[in-house]
Amino acid sequence: MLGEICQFFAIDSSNFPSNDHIIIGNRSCQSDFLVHFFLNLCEKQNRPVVFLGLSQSFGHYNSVGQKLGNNLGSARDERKSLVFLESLFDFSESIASSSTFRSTTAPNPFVELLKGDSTTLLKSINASLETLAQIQTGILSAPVVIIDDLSVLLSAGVAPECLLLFVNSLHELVTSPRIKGSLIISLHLDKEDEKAEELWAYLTHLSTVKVQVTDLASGYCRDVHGEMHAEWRDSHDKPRKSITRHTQFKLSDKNISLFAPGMSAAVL
Amino acid sequence: MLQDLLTGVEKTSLILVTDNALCPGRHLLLNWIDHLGTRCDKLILVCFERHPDFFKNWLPLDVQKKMTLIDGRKTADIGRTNVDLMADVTSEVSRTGGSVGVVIDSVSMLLLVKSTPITCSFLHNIAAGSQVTQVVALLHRDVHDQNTCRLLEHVAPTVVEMASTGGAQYTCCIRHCRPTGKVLKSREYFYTDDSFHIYNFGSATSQDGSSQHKPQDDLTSKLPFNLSLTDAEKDARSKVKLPYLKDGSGDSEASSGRIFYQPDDVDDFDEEDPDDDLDI
Repeated sequence: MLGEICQFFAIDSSNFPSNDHIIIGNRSCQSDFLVHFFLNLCEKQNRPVVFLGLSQSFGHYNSVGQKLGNNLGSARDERKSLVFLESLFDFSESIASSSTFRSTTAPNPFVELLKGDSTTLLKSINASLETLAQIQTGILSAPVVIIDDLSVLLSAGVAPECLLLFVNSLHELVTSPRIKGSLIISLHLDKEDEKAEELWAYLTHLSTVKVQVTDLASGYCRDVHGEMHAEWRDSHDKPRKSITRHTQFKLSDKNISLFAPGMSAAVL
Repeated sequence: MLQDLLTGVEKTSLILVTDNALCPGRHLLLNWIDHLGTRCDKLILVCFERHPDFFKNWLPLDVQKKMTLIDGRKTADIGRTNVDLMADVTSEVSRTGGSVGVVIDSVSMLLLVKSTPITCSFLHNIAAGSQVTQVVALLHRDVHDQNTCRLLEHVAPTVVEMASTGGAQYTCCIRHCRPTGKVLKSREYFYTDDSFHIYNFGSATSQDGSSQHKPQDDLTSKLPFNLSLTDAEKDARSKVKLPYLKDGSGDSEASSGRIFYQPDDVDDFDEEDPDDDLDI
């Protein structure tokens, strides 16, 4: 799976992403594979990763990782190259605590976020980055921050302005010349959700690589599951000619097959 | 007109470059900074989306020396510090004696976080400063609704709307309101080279015309007979003198023409003037 997608992106699998801001727009229900791809790619490179899991728990990512031949558990607990923020639980706790009882322990960043202040969440990500920087395990020491997925916060009631400021600050923090890290943000998009579309449109301008996964326009097909568009935009430090790539894919249990539009083996 | 605006032949206080994700305007903005930098004594660049190095690395050294960079991304909460940002820019303007150019990449963040009227007045106030030669701001059309974009376009006397791109060629629509009040509209194209410098400006209307006629040309080429004319044939056709066409040379002959009438033998020719009873 990793090889095929790397080939499609036409990238060197040993040093990608390098100081990039990648956004993944999911307009299809079968498009989570890209988040797993990036997480496992970074893990293969033995790179420090901060993962903000908002849509699934660690167990889910770990079991997918095992299918792809990676042990995320040992990366988190033994090698300490992965910091997994169980944001799904923190977030649900923050909703419960804000309505029924107040937690007296460490401040929950999501309570602040719901109030419109993203500073605490930023600080916790920054603290994770600093912890990783002390270890310096990988060949590539530039860290990667992955958020899966941002639209959960939006649909749970965080103000879009607050999210924009959060992403903007995170972008500044991670991709700064000091850290030279990469930021990967995934979003679920729905045409009817105007706020998500607005956020996506702004992120497109902010990003350096945009990947969008959609269902087939012609409807459901057993042998072609969807389409993937990738676009390279201006990088962080210099202008770049826009390059677009387009492919169709079919997902299987552990793998993905990519083919040029209309070139599926089932069609030919 | 784009070239005149870029080089400063056409004077304007505020330029709004509007773009969308398919046709980004950041490369045009880079060129604008370059040209504005050579005209002004000082250049203030406010960045919200890219690191200041993005602009700095691309620009020539003499422009780099004139630049003051304000990193809008540094302020973790732009929402609160909009007033400070405004104060930053105005204090930078007042600090210099000569002319100042201000470039903002982009105002979309401000629009999203603060209200539209505040952003409009922010732009207007900077552009109204006596020392400010020109303010250039980038706006992402696809991020905001139509009303917001229109409101901002009303504030700016000049709007460059990036329309389409195909590789290195860009097409843009320009609406320019001169200080005298005359409004000029045009559709123009330009090319960028490998290092993103703009060259080869031109009016896009003729190009669009030729591209619209292309399908017709394809149709006529498949016909068994010839419908189109070559340039030589067109030239020959234009030289043909049409028989009833009144041109300068034919007039004298017409005035000298007479009617000779020879009556038949049996013709009952009336000697009297038929119009005798008329008072003429």
